[in-house]
Amino acid sequence: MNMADKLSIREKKALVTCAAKGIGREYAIALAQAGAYVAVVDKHFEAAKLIAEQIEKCGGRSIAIGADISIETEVSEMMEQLMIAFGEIDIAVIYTDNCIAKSIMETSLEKWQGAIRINLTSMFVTAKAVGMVMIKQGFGSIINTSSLAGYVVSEQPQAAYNTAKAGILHLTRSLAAEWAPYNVRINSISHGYMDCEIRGRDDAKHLLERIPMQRMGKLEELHGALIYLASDASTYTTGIDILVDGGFRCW
Amino acid sequence: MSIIDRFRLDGKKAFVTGASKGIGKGYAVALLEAGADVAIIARDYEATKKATEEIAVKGSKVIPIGGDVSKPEDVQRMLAMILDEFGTIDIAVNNAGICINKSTEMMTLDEWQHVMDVNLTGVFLAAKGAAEVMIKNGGGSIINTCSMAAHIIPEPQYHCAYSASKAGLLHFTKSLAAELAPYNIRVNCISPGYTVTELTKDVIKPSWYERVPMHKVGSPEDLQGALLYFASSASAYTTGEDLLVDGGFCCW
Repeated sequence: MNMADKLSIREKKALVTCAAKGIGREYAIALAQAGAYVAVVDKHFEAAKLIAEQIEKCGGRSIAIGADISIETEVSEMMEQLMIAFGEIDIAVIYTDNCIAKSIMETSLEKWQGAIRINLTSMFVTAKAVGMVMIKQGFGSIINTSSLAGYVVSEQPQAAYNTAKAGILHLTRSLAAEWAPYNVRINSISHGYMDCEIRGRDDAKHLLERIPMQRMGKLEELHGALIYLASDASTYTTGIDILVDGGFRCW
Repeated sequence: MSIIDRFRLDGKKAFVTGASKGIGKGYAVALLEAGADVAIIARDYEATKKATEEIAVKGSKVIPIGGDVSKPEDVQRMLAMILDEFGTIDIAVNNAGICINKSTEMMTLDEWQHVMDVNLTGVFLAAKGAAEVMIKNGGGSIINTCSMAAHIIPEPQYHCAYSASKAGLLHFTKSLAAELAPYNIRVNCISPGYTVTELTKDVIKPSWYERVPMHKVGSPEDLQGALLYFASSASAYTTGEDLLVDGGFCCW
């Protein structure tokens, strides 16, 4: 098989969670542009529908599913809808991101549990549900999303978020080792400071000075890592994380 | 540009060291398929000529160059030949490496030194030479072949010098990435796990398979995707990174 064929995800069936906006939406649109059939999942169903319609308008194929991935029963229902629509699932991008910018002293137990539930537990719940299907099928690629904050502590205090993101990296490795015998791969992508999130923030100029490339990332610069991990270009790769951070972690 | 097109390398000029066989040859094939012109470098010139004939594809240029990356004069000559043929260097793949399978108490200082000369100093020399060209050019991508032995000690095999050299290479890659980022040059590395090549087919034993979560060993083809990711604009915001292609070995 040549490299172009290995990188192809044409006709593959994919799902992307929290895909109604931001990085999740970017991943859904990128997979659709590459020819995959994409389920846009979001707890805001109407917003997910808009993205699915946008994909269809551009010649792609997409459906929308409403589900809050931090609630197990909703994830089960999501999988049921998905299997009715697709029959199988090749690629699952589990994106979730909810940053609570609070110091530890300001973080109540309730807020802490909320942050862990949304950022980390939802990944466990969704990966488990998707994994059960993929193990039965005997194939599949799961892509979790972590963050630079899983490696380094950002200057802005956000302990619960940082902790959850580090947890995702190790959850990914644990699942990879457990599911490798079933030909189910699971990896993650961690983004650094992205233009869309940082622009306009008070500390933007200061952050720029800390990035070796001296610029923020663009959303489309996450596409390459996504395609590599989703496609047959990475069939011997499992349990890894790809950082897309302009070299931030080198320093 | 479509997403898959970002992995294309049409018109780019590349070199791969240690490319007459195994992983390096696989890298050269991937670069050629993606549309780049490639210089095949190895100590054995005859072997580079043979490899060049085997992997030639229509539309791309591939040239053989003999040279030892641990010798500064050889590296200078290699770079001059590439510039003469291609005019520039966009992609430098520093893949040449050696491994001496000996435990620490059995290894002589000369053997230790030899491993460091090829695996670390060789990359320093070739990367430095390529970076000088790329700085003038306004950009480029350097990719080093590291190893999962930089992250963990693969237990059934004792090769202290190899593991130490690769751990050094991992950090050299990050240092170079930070230094060269302002010049639009990205520096990354790939860490293969157990990979079957002509060189390793008698070393890797079936009993090792059990130690890999995927229960199988990799091939040079398994590394081509990671190489194209780093070589191309698909990874435009990625520098100082390492991609493990190890069947999950480092998870355990």
